Amino acid sequence: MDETEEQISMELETLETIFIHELEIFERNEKYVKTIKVNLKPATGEDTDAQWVCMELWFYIPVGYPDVIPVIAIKNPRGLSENRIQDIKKDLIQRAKDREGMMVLYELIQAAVDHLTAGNSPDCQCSICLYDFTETDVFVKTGCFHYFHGHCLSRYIKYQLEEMHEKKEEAKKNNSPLKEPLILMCPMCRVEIPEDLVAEDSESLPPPSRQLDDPEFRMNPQLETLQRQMTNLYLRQKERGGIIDIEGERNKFFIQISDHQARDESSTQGTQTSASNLHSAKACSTQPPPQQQTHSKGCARRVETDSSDSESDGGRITASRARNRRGKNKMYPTPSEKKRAHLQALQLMKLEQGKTQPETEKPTENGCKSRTKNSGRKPS
Amino acid sequence: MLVRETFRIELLWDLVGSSGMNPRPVSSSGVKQASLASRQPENLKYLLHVRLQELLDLGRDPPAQCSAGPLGEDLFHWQATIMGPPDSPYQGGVFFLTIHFPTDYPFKPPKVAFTTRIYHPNINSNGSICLDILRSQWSPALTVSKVLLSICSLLCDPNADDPLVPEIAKIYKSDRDRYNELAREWTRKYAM
Repeated sequence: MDETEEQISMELETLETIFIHELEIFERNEKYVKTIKVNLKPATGEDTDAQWVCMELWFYIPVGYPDVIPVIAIKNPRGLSENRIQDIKKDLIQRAKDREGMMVLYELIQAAVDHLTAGNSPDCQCSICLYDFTETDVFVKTGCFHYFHGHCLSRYIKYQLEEMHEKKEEAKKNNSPLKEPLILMCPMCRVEIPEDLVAEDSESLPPPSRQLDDPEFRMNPQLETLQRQMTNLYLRQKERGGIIDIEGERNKFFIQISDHQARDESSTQGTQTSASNLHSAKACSTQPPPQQQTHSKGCARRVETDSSDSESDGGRITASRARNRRGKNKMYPTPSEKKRAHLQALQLMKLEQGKTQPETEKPTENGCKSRTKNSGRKPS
Repeated sequence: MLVRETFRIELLWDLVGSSGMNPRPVSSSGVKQASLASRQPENLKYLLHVRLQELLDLGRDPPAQCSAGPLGEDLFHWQATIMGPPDSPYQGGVFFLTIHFPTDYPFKPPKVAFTTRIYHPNINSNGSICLDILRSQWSPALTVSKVLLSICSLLCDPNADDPLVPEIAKIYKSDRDRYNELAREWTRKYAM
């Protein structure tokens, strides 16, 4: 063991006795003689509750230390903004440079602790509402050093507990064990947090104060160009069948009957149609699906089609007419709506088979208003 | 900084209007007014209060190759785009997505789905995405930009062990070249 190595191990021994719980030393690797990790918190004495920030300080001791300064890194900072982390790092590196050739580790650690003590307040945003903390805000620190507005975290906990309760009830009802244990987790790192972390109810805590320093949004030429480009692209994709026709996809598995087929032929024809639909649905997962017409508007038109011109239009009747009134861009029908649509499709099928004209108006009322308006069809 | 600003600009454009034709500028006051009426006032107040910030502030952690903004005047309905990541068979494509925010947002996950057809083991023909952070693993600390970033990485690394479209997963596992070829073909056909 040469002299410098001995010096280093002496320095580390000293550090180990000072920072008994905080220090961790990793042995030599290819690049560095030693790697040192120190967990740092502000110096608040016994009052650990008043520690609002923390970080890990890492030293990579190169060959040639102390003549070559150690590489310094800050990891897992909590409550520190990016700027502050950079400032601390810059300061530490400067100090190391000033003391080149000396054993500086203890001094650097002390300097870092001083930084934390001086700026012992979370300088970050609440990750639930995304607002920074202001002077008047009430905030909460989790055991894992994450910060939230009391109001926001309280809402989160309330919501989670309700959800967990629901899951438990459901599991009890179905007599099935829970898939995974239900624990209340920190929204940031998923470490368990106590239910009573926020003592007060969200209503009694002030909501985060709005910060209106964001500039007003204004259109500019650059933006307009981009918008135009995207509009064109969207339309182009639509034209080429690249936009998913959500109604069409959903109805893929519904039985579809062409008006004239249903009228002229028996119901077996309809079943065949649906079989071919199923087939094409299956095929579409390996091959690009055939270009489909846009459904949302096209379907409304189809529904309008009355029996007299349905031959020319090939007027398909699908369950989607029942859903039209929900608005063309509604993408998430409730199960009851799905069921209703399905029943209506079945009902329609029966009606079409029976060719009972006056009754066909019935589903129209629930279905699509525009049909009665525009079809011009008179009940015979 | 430049990247961030560019992103901020990108995400704020009101993409294709619901009619597909009328791009409209977003004014935050207008947005609030427009969507207030029909929702539960309590949650809505909170949502608008806190996550309006997300709309204006996505620039904080901008994922490259993505953009997002409200569709028309409905603050609860956004449209987003993802550029097919380089070194993936989706390269060169632009994929449109829709994002619906529940009234319980950010405590409940947003509903995100592809609008542009895509050949991927974890995305089905409806555009539904099988991604744990959009379901059980959602956390209110996640944001739209983080979700979009996760989707980008899902495009690069499909999860064939938990597929939504088993057929594609099978091809992905057994014949990677064929999968790449098909995904490229779909991208060329639908997303360019």
